[in-house]
Amino acid sequence: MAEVSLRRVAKRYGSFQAVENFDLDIAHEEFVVFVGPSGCGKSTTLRMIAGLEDISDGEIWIGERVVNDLPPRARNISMVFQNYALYPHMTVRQSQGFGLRMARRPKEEIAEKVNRATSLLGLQGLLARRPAALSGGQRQRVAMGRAIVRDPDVFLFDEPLSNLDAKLRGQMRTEIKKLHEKVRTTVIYVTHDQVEAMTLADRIVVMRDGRIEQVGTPYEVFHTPASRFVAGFIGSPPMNLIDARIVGDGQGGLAVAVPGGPALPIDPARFVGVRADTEVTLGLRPESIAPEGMGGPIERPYGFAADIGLVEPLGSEALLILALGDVEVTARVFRPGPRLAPEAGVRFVIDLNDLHLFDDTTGRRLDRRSE
Amino acid sequence: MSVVTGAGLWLIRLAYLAFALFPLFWLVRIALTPDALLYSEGTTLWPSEMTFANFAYVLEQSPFPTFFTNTVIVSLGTAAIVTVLAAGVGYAFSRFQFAGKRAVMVFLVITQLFPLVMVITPLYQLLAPLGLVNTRVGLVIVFTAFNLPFAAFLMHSFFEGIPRELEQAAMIDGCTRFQALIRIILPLMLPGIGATLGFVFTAAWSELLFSLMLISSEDLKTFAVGLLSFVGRSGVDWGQMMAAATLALIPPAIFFTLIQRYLVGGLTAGAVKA
Ligand SMILES: Nc1ncnc2c1ncn2[C@@H]1O[C@H](COP(=O)(O)OP(=O)(O)OP(=O)(O)O)[C@@H](O)[C@H]1O
Ligand SMILES: [Mg+2]
Repeated sequence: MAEVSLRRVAKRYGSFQAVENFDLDIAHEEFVVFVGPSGCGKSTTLRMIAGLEDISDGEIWIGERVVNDLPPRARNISMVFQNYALYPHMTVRQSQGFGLRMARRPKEEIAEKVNRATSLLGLQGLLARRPAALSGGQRQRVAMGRAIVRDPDVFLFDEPLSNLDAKLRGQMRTEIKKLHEKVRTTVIYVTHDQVEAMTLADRIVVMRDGRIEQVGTPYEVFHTPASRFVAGFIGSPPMNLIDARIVGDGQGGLAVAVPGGPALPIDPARFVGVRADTEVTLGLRPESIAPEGMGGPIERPYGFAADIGLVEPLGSEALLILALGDVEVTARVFRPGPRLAPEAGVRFVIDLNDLHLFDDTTGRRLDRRSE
Repeated sequence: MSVVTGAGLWLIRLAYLAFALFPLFWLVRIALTPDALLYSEGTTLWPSEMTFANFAYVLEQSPFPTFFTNTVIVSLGTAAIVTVLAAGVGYAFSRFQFAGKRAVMVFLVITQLFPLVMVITPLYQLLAPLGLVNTRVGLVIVFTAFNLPFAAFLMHSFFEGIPRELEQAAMIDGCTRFQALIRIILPLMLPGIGATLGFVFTAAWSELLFSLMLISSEDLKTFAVGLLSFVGRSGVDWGQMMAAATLALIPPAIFFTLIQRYLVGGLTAGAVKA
């Protein structure tokens, strides 16, 4: 049983604030993913939880204990490093059992646990090998095996898949997810890959410049991004973010005007407090813009004509670059036909229920749901 | 495709080997030449007659065995002490941040810049009141002082070659920092330890300047100093000197044979993704 709590945790390197005011409660058996651009403090936070980095401020709880002053070995955690950090002079069998040997477990217990972990990860044939004789994917597996063998309270992963090629990364992602189903343990997983974050997480923590930008389920983070930053970071291709202006629609309602383009009516019940003549950032997901008849189901369609400038076929889908007024936006079409090509004056529809508005200065979401 | 292949490459290797080994060959050749033939036969590749008389004299009638023993004691002692100290310094430099770290490292480099002759007098004055002049312990201390900076740098670079994540993984796996050092880092440091031992041992083995200045008793001399005793008033006894020098080459050769398997790198292969 282990919840993990971070209470106003901070990390300073000299005068540089690497992590600031980090507050988070992680439930027992929860899979939490820290995601964010390079240098935003993900690893630093993870390493503070592991005890590999001093905590400048705040408290970290694992289970019932404040672990601030406990060395890594006393925290009952295990960690998978980005570069695997396998002991070069030990065979797979030896390195899997190393933690248990350090804990002076009986020989039979070590053998049994190592066997269980290695068969879980399909490492049986490799037990006598040293790391130098393993492929990248196998090393990754051995590193995971070493982590699960000890039945820790918490698993920490620091970008464990980033050294693998794209295909293997996809496979291992699935395996990690399956593994978590079998070995129910609290997991904290660091990545800068938002696809990994979306697919693995129970909850995602989006970080930026040492601070938490948003905490939420993958669904929440995708559908109600708390800020312009999250909106641009989560989702691939990223959300179209357009500098726009709130205007009256002439009938007492409000609309968001795209420079040189259409004014899209907005739902007054949803965007309360949004006033006319203010600058905002309009966010449109590529999948909520599509040529008429080619998109998915659309709840509140708004039609307009635009020129398709570029087509990027991706097989099961295609990206269209089109001009919406003066700005270029990306649209996403599922199951594109064979003759999709640049063309002028195509009819498009936008789903008005899938508009996102962000405050121009703070970048925060303008939406009653986010308050 | 390499420009030089197969036979050509071997030719270059053989030429280099011949170049490197020729002085050694000449040493042995003179040691085996009877005194009478040394000058009378002129420069030939091999004398017409061979003798072990020079070796026999050096081993049985000269004080050389004593010199020899002294050198072994001093060199092994120095190598062991320097390597242990250098490992500590190198580890600290590599793994810990502390105030003045850069300054200390720069200072160590600076110590290497002084010509050794400069410090002979001050060193003598320092050691004399401590009763360390004309002792083997004194020599070991002096050699240690002079070899430590470079050895520390050598060790530092070997430590830097070992990823920090290995220790961190070990500490998460239940080790204290010290246990991680002993169980994970030490085995991977064997090449570094071997190289440092070899380097310091060789340096101490052939040291002449301080051995000459600090040692006066016949029974405490090292072989480098002892070799000079073959330079007599009436000339140099080349045969005996070369025989002694040949014998003196044996311990370093044995030493390097013993440690050579640790000198090959690649022990950390596979630890991390390259
Ligand atoms: N020892 C250190 N001294 C000074 N600054 C540091 C140190 N370690 C990390 N930092 C800084 O702290 C910030 C956060 O680093 P961290 O490694 O946590 O980033 P990250 O989110 O894991 O990025 P990445 O995705 O590139 O791994 C970075 O700006 C980094 O430069
Ligand atoms: Mg990182």
